[in-house]
Amino acid sequence: MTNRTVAGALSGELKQFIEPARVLDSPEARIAYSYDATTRQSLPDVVVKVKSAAEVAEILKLAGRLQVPVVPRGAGTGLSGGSIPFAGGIAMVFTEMRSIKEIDQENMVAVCEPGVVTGNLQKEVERQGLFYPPDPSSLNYCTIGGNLAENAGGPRGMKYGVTKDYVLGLEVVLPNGDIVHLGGKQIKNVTGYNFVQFFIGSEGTLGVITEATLKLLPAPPARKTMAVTFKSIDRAAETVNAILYSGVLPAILELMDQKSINYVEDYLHLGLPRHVEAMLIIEVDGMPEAVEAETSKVAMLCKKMRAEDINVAKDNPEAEQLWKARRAVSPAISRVRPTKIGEDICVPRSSIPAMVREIRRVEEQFDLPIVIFGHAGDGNLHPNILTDKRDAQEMERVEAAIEAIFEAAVKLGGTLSGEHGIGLSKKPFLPIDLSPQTIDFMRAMKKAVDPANILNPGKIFGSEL
Amino acid sequence: MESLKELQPALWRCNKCGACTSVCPLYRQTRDELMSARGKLSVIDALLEGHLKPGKGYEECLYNCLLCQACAAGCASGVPTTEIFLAARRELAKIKKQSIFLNSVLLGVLARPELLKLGVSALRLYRDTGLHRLCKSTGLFKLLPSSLQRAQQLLFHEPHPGTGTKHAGKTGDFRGKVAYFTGCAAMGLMPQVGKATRRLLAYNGWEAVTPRNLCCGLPHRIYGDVATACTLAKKNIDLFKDFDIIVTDCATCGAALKEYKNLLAGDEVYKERANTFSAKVRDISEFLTEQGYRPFSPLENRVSVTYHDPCHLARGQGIRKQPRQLLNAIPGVKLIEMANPENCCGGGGFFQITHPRLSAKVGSEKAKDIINTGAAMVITACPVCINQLKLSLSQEAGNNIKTFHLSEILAGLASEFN
Repeated sequence: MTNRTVAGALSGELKQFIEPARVLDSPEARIAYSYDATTRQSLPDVVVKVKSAAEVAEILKLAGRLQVPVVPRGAGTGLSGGSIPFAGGIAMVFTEMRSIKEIDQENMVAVCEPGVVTGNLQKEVERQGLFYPPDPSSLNYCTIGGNLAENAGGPRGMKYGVTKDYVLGLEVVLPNGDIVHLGGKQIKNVTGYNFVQFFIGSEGTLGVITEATLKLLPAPPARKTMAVTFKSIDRAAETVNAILYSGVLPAILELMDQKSINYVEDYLHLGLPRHVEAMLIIEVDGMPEAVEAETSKVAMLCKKMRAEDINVAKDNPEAEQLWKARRAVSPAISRVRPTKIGEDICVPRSSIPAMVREIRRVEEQFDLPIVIFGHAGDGNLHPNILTDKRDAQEMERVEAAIEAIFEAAVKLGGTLSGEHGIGLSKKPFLPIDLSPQTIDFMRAMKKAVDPANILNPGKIFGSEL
Repeated sequence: MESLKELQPALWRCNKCGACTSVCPLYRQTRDELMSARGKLSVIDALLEGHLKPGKGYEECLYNCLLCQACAAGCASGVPTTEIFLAARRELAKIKKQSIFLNSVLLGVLARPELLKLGVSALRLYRDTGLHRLCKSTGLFKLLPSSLQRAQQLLFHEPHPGTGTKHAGKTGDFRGKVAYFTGCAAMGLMPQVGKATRRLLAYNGWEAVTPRNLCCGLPHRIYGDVATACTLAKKNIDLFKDFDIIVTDCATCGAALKEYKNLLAGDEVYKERANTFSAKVRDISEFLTEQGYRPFSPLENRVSVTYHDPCHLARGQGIRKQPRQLLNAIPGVKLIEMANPENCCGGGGFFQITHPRLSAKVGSEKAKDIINTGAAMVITACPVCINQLKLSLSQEAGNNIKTFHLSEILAGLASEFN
């Protein structure tokens, strides 16, 4: 943390050009902006709720002059510590920059500020028959800015891609206070470097996004959901491949392992079969006729693959009922033990059964319950370790287990994180995945745009540049 | 009752996912983390860990809350937020005195029946003599602090009409005796709600006996004065010991009375009695749907209504279907659901008075949801909500929507206004 005299001076200087009501430095406010959904905490010296790119630029110039860190923060729902003010300084909060500036129906793009809640954007564009597909599970409370900074994904990733696939243009404030504009409404644009993608997933370390131009799609008029159970997880994985090979590209292919099924059953008593190793929740979307045809094809394939039970929802309420099981996984497992540590590895789809076996091995080796669920279609698995963060001895085992899971994932051609980001949580493990040369290259980029290391220091890499 | 320290492990179950921010009416208006449950839990945790002193900021944080329980209902980890917030208020009250206004004027008066009666009479005199209109026209109100301006708006902006007796005037065949718990609102400024409920009971063959009960104690409990809440609870338990059923038409009273069993769980003498008492308490809609009700007379004209779920009824007592079932049973009533009927109206007891601006913002969101239904009336089941909804609707342009208690429309009042 910055020393208190500097902190006091900082608030005073900020209040020179920002309404005092938006500069918060009470002990309570600093606590309330010290965390994200990792439950790690680190106090900022001051919290500023910004309202414009010009304000962001002024703050960055001030921070550069005073040598204090600036950490951009959306709704604080991240899962890797990206928005935690790890080294104190300024928590730059974007919840007041929440206007959807334009929904351009003709060109199918939306222009919005970073503090817009993702779910609100989705609702607004749906009203015009359009569709913004990225759907992180926190969509009702996370913000677009955070989604861009962490390159958030979601269940629809396989068919529709993730946040990065929907960004056409950005307004970014650089650490020196310069405001730059990258890309625009054009679908094709090769004028200059493709630096839009440079900032997506940069976790607030390279620049501060103050506006985004997002690509929209026509809303699929129909969707259909089914839940299918399998005696063996290998069978479930083979079925996923068989479905894709048959020419059907489902919007969603979610996987729950036996442990998740059983914990959900303990919690909600939905009548789920406890003996099956896997359940797939499959959703197809598109034109009604196509959806019907694809649903029957998928059901037929599942039958051929000797699925235990195939349950096709007749209508929306029935579909909701099927989703209930998948949505209940998190609440169900958070009741089992005091702490759940959710990982986010991503492996090539064909390696899912091997990865599940590896996780089971880790579970046994370190004697820790691990629940697996995730996105079977894109290989993004969420092994959740159920533990108690106040038990220091057990936490050592947890750390070791996480490392073992990462090593296994990378060995299978996978990566540390599919959609949560590296932030604080995974930075010690970065060398498992990236070569020293790759890390050096990334650091060199960071140094080039932020030589004074003002923006979100200590994330992704170590604190030193 | 568990201490804050004992509740800390439950607090630790919060994984700060942020879901509570999306359901918190105050966060939605302010986008201020300190309003949200996870913000408050972090602040309370810091206090318990010795990183924070219980100063003014801490007190503000605890009281910037409607206790609407939406966060608890939406919490995937099942953190008992309301319980934790109440424990924090209780322990803060031990070391820090409440403001004189709150402590003596509001809580003090509520705890003492003779003062409550006097206070209510004074307020009614003020309203009915036209004194308040005089104050309004002379601009005297503008000299009041905003909280008192809000208070007087809430109480006097529109007199509640008298209860019609058209349909529920006839008494049904005698089925038994029940006790009616008179809430402070029905006792004082909205006596017509109490009258409607008692008529409704009579129409269905129930003789309503009204022992002179005391305040349910919820206001004291939520401002941290558990000792007074317990004293009131015990007196009420003794007063009602000879009845099998205790009916109330106030969502807040009902929730508080059903909570006596937890409030007095640590009291060796009253533990059992409190259990028995709480088990007898029924909201009027719960009671009628449980016991069966006589068909309601058809309304002269069709009327469209929408229903607002009071926090203390929906989340507090799990009563959601019953009021709707009764409304749908009135021939001529068309129920149109509003968006988010369970969103808090922003009333929150004295919150309306202590936090006028926040309360008005939340109320405005609710009023818009009501107006969007196109209904002619909004029905609810809690006097605090009625006051808040009336005021909020009166401050939104272009509507003439009437607000009534469920008992009033069931007792036949609606036909006079459609």
